[in-house]
Amino acid sequence: MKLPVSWLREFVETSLDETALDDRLTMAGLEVEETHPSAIGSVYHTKVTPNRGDWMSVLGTAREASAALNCPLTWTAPAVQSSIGAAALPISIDIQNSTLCPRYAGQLLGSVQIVDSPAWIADRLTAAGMRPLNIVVDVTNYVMIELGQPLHAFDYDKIPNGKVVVRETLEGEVIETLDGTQRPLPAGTLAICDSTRPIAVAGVMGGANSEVTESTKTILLESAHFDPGTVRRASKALGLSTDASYRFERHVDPALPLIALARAVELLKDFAGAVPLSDPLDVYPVPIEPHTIELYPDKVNKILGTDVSHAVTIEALERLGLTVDGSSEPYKVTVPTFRPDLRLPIDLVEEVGRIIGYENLPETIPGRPGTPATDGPEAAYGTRVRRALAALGLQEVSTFTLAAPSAFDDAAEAEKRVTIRQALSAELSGLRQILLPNVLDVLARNVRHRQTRIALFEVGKVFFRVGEGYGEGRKVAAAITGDQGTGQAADFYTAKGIVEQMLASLNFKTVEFVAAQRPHMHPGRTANLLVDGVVAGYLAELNPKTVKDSLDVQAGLGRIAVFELDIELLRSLEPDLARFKHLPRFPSVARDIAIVVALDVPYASITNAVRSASTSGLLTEISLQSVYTGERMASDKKSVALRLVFQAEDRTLTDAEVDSELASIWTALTQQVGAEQR
Amino acid sequence: MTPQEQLAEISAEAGQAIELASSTADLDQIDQEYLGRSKGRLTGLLRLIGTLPPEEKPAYGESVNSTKNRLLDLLASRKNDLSEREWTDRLNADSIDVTLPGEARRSGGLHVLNRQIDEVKAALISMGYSFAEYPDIEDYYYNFETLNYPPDHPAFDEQMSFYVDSTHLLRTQTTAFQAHVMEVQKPPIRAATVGKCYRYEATDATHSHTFHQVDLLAVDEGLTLADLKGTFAQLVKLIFGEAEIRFRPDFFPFVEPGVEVAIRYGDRWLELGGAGMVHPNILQSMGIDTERYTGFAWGLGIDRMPMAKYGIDHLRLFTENDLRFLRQF
Repeated sequence: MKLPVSWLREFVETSLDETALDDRLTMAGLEVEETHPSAIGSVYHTKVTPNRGDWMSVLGTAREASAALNCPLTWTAPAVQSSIGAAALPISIDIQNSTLCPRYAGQLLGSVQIVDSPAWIADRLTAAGMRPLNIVVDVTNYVMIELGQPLHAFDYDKIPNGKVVVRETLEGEVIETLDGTQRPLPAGTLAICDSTRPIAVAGVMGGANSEVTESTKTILLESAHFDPGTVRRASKALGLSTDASYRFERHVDPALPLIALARAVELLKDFAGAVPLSDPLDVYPVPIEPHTIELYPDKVNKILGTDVSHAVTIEALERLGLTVDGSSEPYKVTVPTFRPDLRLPIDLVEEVGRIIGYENLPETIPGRPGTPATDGPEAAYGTRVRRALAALGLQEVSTFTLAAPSAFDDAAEAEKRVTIRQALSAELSGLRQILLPNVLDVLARNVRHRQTRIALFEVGKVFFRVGEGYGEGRKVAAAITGDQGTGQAADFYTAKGIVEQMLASLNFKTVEFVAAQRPHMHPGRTANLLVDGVVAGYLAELNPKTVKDSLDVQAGLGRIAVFELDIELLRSLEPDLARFKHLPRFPSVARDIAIVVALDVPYASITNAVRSASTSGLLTEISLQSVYTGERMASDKKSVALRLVFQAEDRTLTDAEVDSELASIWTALTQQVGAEQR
Repeated sequence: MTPQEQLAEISAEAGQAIELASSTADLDQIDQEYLGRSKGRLTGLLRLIGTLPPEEKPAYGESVNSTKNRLLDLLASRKNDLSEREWTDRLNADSIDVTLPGEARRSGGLHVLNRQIDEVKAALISMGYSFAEYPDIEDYYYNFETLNYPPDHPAFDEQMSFYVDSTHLLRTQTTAFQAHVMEVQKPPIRAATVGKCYRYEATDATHSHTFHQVDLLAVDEGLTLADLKGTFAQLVKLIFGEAEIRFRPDFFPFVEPGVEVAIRYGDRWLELGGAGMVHPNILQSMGIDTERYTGFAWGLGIDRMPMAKYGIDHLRLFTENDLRFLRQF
């Protein structure tokens, strides 16, 4: 709230300058967020926590300052004057639900002159962020800021027979509020009504039908106590938040209505020529009494970790306006009605802590239980993946899980997208199902920034619907384009090499890559990754047509290689630890062979054929030397050069042994893939 | 010429050749020519020993040998010199401009924000807190109800949330993990989690609809607010080195007493998050004996940490993922 410092100083006597005072209030929990200048000096902008409605006034802030600084509160409540006896005009107040409206006080004032407020009132209101209007409205606002009690003035002549009923609205009732808006009131809204219709929404805003105008002569001044929840629901239902509703929602001191009324009457007598036509009327069927909390004083040190005496505890509570009966344990602590937030002994411990000052707390480290501390398995696995990819030259990125639908989503999965209710924008409309679209966005942005060598990845959560519920997965996706330092532009094989190395670092020995078709991917350059026969993801080059249509990059960028793998699945398939194998003690024999096969024979079929032929276990390695297609080859053929390495654990191989191996390999190649010798 | 004269001549000749040799290859050739086992000219002189009278034979043999040894020494020393020079020449010829740029290699890297998360995790694990993962799509029950939010509380207004249905929302705080932990663990508890949180916020330099939090929960006998303060100070020390910390009363429904924790950053306080003693209502609802146990907890924002550390001036930089930015760290 906006609080002029000079007004505050009227209520509490302190020699601190405004910076020191700001600091002390902030350290006591009432944060002064900013200080602004105004016509009447500095104004604090305080941040009132939801539990401390009492801070929404000069008085409440002064009470806090008085307790925190241990300096006197100089405010005294104005005396309530009751000397008139019977009211001069008819007036009746009927509370129909005293749970929702525990207290309703009012007073009739006649001969009211609707004039401008004196400058000092106008200046204070302006500094507090309110617009001065006329003396009656201004005084209600002034008292609200000063004491925290919202007031409302009705034009008495617009209330037939002075009959006021506080009741819940019926189906279909409507009110035009002071802001000129017609508002249908949901049934059950607490309203101030005359004998037939609502004239104010309780605690929120008055009605136009009973508004104080230039011609108003007699007013009914309302000073009531409403249940916070009731006001909150009404404010929410009407979409209408006011200075009054803001305070009522956070609880206003039920002891205030008569005091505030007296203060307002005092000001209106002085500055509006008002004459009381009735004594203060106070309907308060079940008075709210201060409550008592039992506190064992040892609890203070047990919770705070301090070593303060019982006397310090008592003094701290008393400074806050609480009454402590410390004659026996537990202490009986009586809490005034302006502190409804204090309910439990622990709440009192906090109060003592605040008064001692948290800056004076010791710093200690608790002992540790014997159990070792670890990272969670999912995150730990993700970290291994992240480190492996970073070591392979990829840069990690981090993007939002909230994302707009993307051209790169899988349309077949659209029904499983988790969407946000009442989303404000496409970007905030749902949760990502895959990582690729975000990673491609990042790639495109970097391309636009003239980066030519791009290799990105992200490890993160993805989300999907599962029946009526929700599922969360963890994936890794990468996008690579441009020369990665090899002198050649990245392509499918760049991604494949990265995936292979990453999987090797995760102990995967045998995985399969199987040609596949995927939406948005190049139909001839896409493979599924199979681990133990399960598809764990894919790698591919983006379909250049989709890139042209849907990715915001300049034409001619070149190939974009991508992959996206399910790392939760990989984790579930994680192989056993690698076992140590003896290093070879006998030399190996390498033989190069060159075969000619049909163009469409996959390399995997060739190696499978080679492996199937060598049952002796002597073949330890197959590596690709080259693949040749071109003029020296029939147009439907390719030549593949392989290096085969043979080795035995217990002897040096003879040429005869290797030749015999090679012979059966050739047979298999001929039979299985139709290979001819080059 | 007598053998002696021949010896003198060859010796002089060889000595001169060694002197004049300009490379180790020349020396090898000289070695071959004069001292070669079969065709060396000096070696050949030994064969003349038969032509001499017996009394001259020993002296002659000795002088051939001593000449040979002298030549060998000469050769070795000359070879040493020449070889030294040859290496020097070769290496000189091989020298390069070391100021030319290195090969175009580029290592990858981890995102600066995730590195911060890694660092916070490592620090807290070292302090005895175990991490686990919890859902981003959270049940209202865990996000609010178990955290002592009374129904209709104004705090709800301050946490405008992303709802996916009437009972599920994107967690507004990782604090939602508390009840998950206490459902399966009994004290002593030392638990932590880190992850994304979501709130409708006007986006600016330090606010975004998505942010990262690290939450911590300790429940044990005798835990105090001073323990919380010391634990926070320890974390700050591990992450920031020596930095002044601030503990200030604040309000959150799930803690009592509640504090706001901040560190001194430059000439101002950087608020890192909320903390406090776990509210006894929460412990009780989880079946934990509040006479015996107390707990403390915090929820700290991660995003501001690297901002403070590196002087990063806008959150947007973290999610734009401009390589020119990411490669700075």
